[in-house]
Amino acid sequence: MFLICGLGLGYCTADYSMQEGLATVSVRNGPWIVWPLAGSADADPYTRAHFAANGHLPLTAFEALTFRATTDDHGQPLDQSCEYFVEGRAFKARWWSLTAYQNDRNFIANKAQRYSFNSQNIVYTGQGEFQVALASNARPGNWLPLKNSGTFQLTLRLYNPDSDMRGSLQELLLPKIKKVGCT
Amino acid sequence: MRRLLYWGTATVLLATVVHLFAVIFVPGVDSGQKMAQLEAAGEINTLHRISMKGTDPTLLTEPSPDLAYAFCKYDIKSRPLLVQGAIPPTYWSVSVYSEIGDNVYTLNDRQAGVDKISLMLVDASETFEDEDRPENTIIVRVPTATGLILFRAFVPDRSQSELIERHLDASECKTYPVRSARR
Repeated sequence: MFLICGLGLGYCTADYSMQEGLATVSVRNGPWIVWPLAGSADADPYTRAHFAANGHLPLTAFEALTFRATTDDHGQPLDQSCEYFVEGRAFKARWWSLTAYQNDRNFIANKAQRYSFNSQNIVYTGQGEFQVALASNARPGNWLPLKNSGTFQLTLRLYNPDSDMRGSLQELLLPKIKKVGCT
Repeated sequence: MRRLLYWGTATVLLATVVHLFAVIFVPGVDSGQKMAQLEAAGEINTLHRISMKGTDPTLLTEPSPDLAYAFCKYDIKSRPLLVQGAIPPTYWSVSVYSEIGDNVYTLNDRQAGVDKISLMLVDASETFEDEDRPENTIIVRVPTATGLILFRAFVPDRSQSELIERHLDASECKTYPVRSARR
């Protein structure tokens, strides 16, 4: 009993801290999580473990900021049987991209071979504002196709972000992830 | 009561040991596996462009569909490595990763300010005479003799992918015929 509890507790807390991050090493902004010391030689053991365990080769925050979301704005897991709107405005970065991945970290297969939008191929709705629809059926405008089941995650990458963005990760105006409905 | 306290404390101690063990040793093990996977994919000290067709699994975890990639797995135990990059007219970067996945160096197209760049990777623990340096070459001293170089190039839309891939194909990694003098 002692062994099972000790090993289980140790494994679960290590897994959680490597995936979700502790408040001292990762930054949460709504549903988005960013690891500010990604790729840095000065990174703490949790940041190193997070990227190694996930097989990522990160860039430092100077070169790119990477935000990941596995839930919507209300904390519900992103589900491919639902429809979402991701709404935001252009970022103070050289360029940016928004990508959807399925749970196994591969792209979500679709006939259009559309897995992401970037700052140059997205259609803006107003003064730098954009809306991306995520749904299994075609939608007008910026549409990222989903399948009909399984969870997924969104990754927002900002390349060469302005220095003031790097210093205020918690206050950044990041896209809202709004659930429209589920089938 | 005392017995319960004893076993409770022992469980917490075991969980702490397991937690720290996992966090500290995961980066080494997982980064080693990643490097071995990339090494198996192609010859060492040679550039390989990563095919990004559809949803096929690639060597990278959660690659960006808006980037084209090429990599060299390096080993500079016996000789330095000369890295030559042909820079396309979009965002481009070259990153050097140590054996444990630290992003020890990154240079992007704006910082380079030219359309062709030449870097020489030198083991930081070895001396390298400046007269051995080829002209217009940046010396990059790396903390581990093995690791990975990753080229990233922005593909704003599919019509430009051929142009970007041509630039990556024109890039090169090769050992440099000067043996560094060991300290």
